[in-house]
Amino acid sequence: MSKSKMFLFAPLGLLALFSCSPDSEHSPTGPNLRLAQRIQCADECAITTDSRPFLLARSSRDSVAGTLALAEITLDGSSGATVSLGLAGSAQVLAALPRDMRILVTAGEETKSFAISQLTSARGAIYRFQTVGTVRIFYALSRGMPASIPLGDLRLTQYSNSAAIVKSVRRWVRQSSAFAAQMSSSSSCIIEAPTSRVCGTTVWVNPYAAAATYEGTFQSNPGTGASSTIGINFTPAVPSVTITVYDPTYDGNTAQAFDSTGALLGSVSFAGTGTPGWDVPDTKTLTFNGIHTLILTPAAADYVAYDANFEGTPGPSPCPHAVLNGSPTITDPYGALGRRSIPHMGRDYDGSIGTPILSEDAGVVAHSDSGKSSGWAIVVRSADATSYYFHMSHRSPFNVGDTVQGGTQVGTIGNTGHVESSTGGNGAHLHFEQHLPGGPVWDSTGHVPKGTQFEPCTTSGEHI
Amino acid sequence: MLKSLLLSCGALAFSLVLTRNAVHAAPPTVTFSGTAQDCSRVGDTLRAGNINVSAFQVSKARAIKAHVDSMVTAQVNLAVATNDHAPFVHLDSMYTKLQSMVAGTKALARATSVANGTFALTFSPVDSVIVVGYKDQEDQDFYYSWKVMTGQASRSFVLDMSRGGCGF
Repeated sequence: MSKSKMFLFAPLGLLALFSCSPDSEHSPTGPNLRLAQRIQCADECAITTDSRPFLLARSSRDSVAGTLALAEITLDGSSGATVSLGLAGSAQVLAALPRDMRILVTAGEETKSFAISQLTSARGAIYRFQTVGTVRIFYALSRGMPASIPLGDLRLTQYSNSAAIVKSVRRWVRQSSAFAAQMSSSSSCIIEAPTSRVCGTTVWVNPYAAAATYEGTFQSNPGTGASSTIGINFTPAVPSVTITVYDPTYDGNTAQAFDSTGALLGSVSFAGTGTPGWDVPDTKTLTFNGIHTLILTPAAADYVAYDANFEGTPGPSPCPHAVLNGSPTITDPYGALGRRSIPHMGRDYDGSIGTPILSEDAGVVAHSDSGKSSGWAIVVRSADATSYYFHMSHRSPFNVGDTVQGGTQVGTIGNTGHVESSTGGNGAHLHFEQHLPGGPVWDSTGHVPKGTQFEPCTTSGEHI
Repeated sequence: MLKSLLLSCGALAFSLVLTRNAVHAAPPTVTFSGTAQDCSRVGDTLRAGNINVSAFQVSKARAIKAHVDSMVTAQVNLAVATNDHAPFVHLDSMYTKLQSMVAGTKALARATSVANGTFALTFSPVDSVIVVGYKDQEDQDFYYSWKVMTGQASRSFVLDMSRGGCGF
């Protein structure tokens, strides 16, 4: 992309921003990006998808701690006012939705979780105003969509009685039409951060800068100067990666795939337009057994941006070893707000005091202590994650520096620390939280680090 | 009849004087309108409800100011520790002590943030104010924050419960 092109696009961008519909006010989208979802509020708010293939993207800016944030609606209501939720859609779309997908609704301090079937058969009660006041309601999906959702309508509708909508914020999903089309035949595991955990895969991108223009997600360096080489690492290795290069002016943009030994698996080249300012994105997919590293090399003097996605398993990955035996019940899912000030950074499992807690993977103990809120806790660093286990009944038999194997009992479920939001009668539960590997256990403010958490791996048989 | 009328008039005049004096004696007040904020990751902005917030005159709460200052060092020590037992226990005890100091020190005003994170503290003007907020929150140890501001005039401010972690 030449700098002259930037000047060319600036007036168009301004024009487009001013002509946006009201619901784009809070959108991070650029002028040519299609909104895949809308909120329309009159007497009621309807959250609808457009008529294109129904796709969800994971956007770090638009998601709430790993769940897919749909919308945030604030209502003023009088005493006794009620808010409920309904879901309707074409039969083929509804049938294609994952059975375990749930719609999470946080109203005030309470989070509710609805199965799809619950809302299609009857409206779900969300909130009742006890007094005159204001409530902010968050809507989110518990997981992403598979890529193969057929064309059709899906409508989530909030109904309110004696309550007025004072603000609505559509969150989620920014997509270019080209990207959406490409995504419809691929996975929804999208790379959007320099370090992230996506679809059970830890992804590092270096160097990484947010795309300077409205196209693409990332580029090598800030600004619009010549691009440099970018490396992307996948742990574990992935079978397929799709790259879209935006504005390749010259031939010579390439992507090379390597396995974990550093052996070259193969490469692809992207076509250049030959004309600065003429943007024709080019998309190529690399499919090999075990792509561990991808090298994106720009053509000499070219300025390009990228979208990248890969084959993975949308949603959290299975734990290498079960955290709890049997079929544990999730009492507080990842991302729920509940009585907290921020969304739940981990997942809570119900359990009686004394139930064994097992390490999800082999690792080294990084913390074994008691905190005012976390109670007796242990933190284990493994290759793929730093795992936090809170509210144990007693001190773990393991100390900092000890090595534990996957499946090793590291403690037992308890109710130590601050457990007020647990659903259990005596508060006993396991809080299981995971962060990207390699980071500090505590940040320089004494908190568990922010922004490195991801939806914890799952234990087979667990249910809400 | 006349006597009772005179008594009534006298009582009325007396009460008017009292009222006028009361109006004149009412000290000016300042109101701190705060919003407790946090995030789940840098870039988010979330409002923090149910935060216990207290305002103190700094000159009369120097122990609290010194304590929160020393907690900064304790936080850093925890973050860089290879074996975090000692710094964790130390910060944990400091956090507990902070709560007891906040509860046991005469405050200019106290409040609890509502669901949208807002709270208001109203008090007579003072030179300098330290606002301390905390909440015992499941899964989050050391959930507190503080801010020092001049206390001569009303103002709005953000109480950053991430203490810089969100980049506000």
